[in-house]
Amino acid sequence: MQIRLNHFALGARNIYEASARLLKETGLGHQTGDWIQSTACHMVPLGGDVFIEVEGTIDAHAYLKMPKPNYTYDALDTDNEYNGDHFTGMMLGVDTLEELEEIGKRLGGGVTPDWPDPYRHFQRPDGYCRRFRSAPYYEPGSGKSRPRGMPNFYFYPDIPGRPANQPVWSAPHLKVPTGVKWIEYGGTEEEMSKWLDVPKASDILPFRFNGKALGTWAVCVGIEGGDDVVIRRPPSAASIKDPSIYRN
Amino acid sequence: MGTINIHINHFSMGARNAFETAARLRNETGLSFWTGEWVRDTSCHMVPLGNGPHGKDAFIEIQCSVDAHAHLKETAPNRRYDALAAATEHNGDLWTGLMLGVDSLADLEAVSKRLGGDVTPDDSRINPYNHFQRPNGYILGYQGGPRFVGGSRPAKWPADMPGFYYYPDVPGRTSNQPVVPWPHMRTPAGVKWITFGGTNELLSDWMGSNAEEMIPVKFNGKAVGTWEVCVGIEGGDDVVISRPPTASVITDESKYRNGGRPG
Repeated sequence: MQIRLNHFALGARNIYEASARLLKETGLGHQTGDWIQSTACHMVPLGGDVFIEVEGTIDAHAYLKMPKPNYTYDALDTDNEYNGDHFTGMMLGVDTLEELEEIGKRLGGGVTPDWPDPYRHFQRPDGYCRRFRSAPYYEPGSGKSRPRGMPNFYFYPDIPGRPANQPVWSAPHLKVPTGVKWIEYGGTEEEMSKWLDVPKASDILPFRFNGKALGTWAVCVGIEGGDDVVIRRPPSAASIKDPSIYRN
Repeated sequence: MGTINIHINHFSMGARNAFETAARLRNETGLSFWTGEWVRDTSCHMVPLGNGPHGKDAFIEIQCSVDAHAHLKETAPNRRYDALAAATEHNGDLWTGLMLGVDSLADLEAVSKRLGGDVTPDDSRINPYNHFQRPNGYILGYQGGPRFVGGSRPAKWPADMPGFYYYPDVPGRTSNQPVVPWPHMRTPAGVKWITFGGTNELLSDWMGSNAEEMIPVKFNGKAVGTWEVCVGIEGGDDVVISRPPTASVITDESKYRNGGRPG
């Protein structure tokens, strides 16, 4: 089974401001208009079929009605030098549904259902509904959950339709990304290797571990004809002092 | 000074979730939109309405808050947020504004001065965060009025009287940008008529000319604000977009009058 990078989630208080700032910082452009329920994403292709989803709420009314405490909200509310931006997830990819099911089972869960309701899937302004499956999926009320900060796994059946393969808005001084060169991740090689069920995680993905809170700390992206860019943001876990209050 | 030519510039449709609202409006009318424009903590999906005899390249901006964190930190009452929370049909959608257009800065200054205000500065180059921006870096430089110094409009005018705008960049106008393609999309042919609250006397007093003669407006005597917009469709039947205006769901306007964030 080949495990590869699929995407990174970059949580933002205001995705418009965050993606415009990221464009200025790195030269990496984005698409607009993808949304699911009360969340929207600006998609930043990184080359090599990998992308960043700059995600944030676009429905303050729904968001403020959510049960509290809210782990992501509280992390983003922590001030930092990036207007509160945090890496909120790293998502890995596999090439078939069978592989995804195998991973889900190994981690004590299953795979997300292929919900028929488009409102439960990412939609684009042209009506495209992005159907994907992920694992491990734990039934609500099962008492099980994925350890915070460990990556989950995705199967995207539609390769041409992937966010990584959609055109970005044109903008002055855009750079062309050529793929992820390395990732600085929290925790240890041993923890990640166990989660991935491989002898050494950094042999299959370009990890560098820093021993800090779990999650993505930095992503280095190659640039066509130019210097690499490093996107550095803290992960959510770095800003949550007491994770126990979010458990139940 | 001759009569100033006043036309419909755009409509604001407030939404709890502009993404959901824009998709639903398109299912309802066939009118598509484009995405990505934002100013501060608000973003808009833009719906061009075409160029009719009176509409003059009008558009709808479906606007919503995209920064719940900023909203929670606000200290003043937020009229638009409260109205959207109160509305019950159309997932809370409301008409939150009618914006009229003039053809020159001199006209805008004259209109604003007559109403006792002035004109917002053109600081789009030095303060882009206060202006609509697009994902390609374009900054929508426009000026509006009347701006009342001190922040409070004279008591004789109800909330939701239309603002006036001058957009110097005609090719860059929101109404002239391409929409996202979609199956069964319709081509709008301009605004045919609108239903507005209040009376012709009130709006004419505000506009400085006979409103019914200047723009295609009908009045229903209810709360001030837009109630309906009829859009012509190329090769098809007109569509009528009906939503209540903000003022129809706000029960106590007084708390928004001094220092509150307007709708």
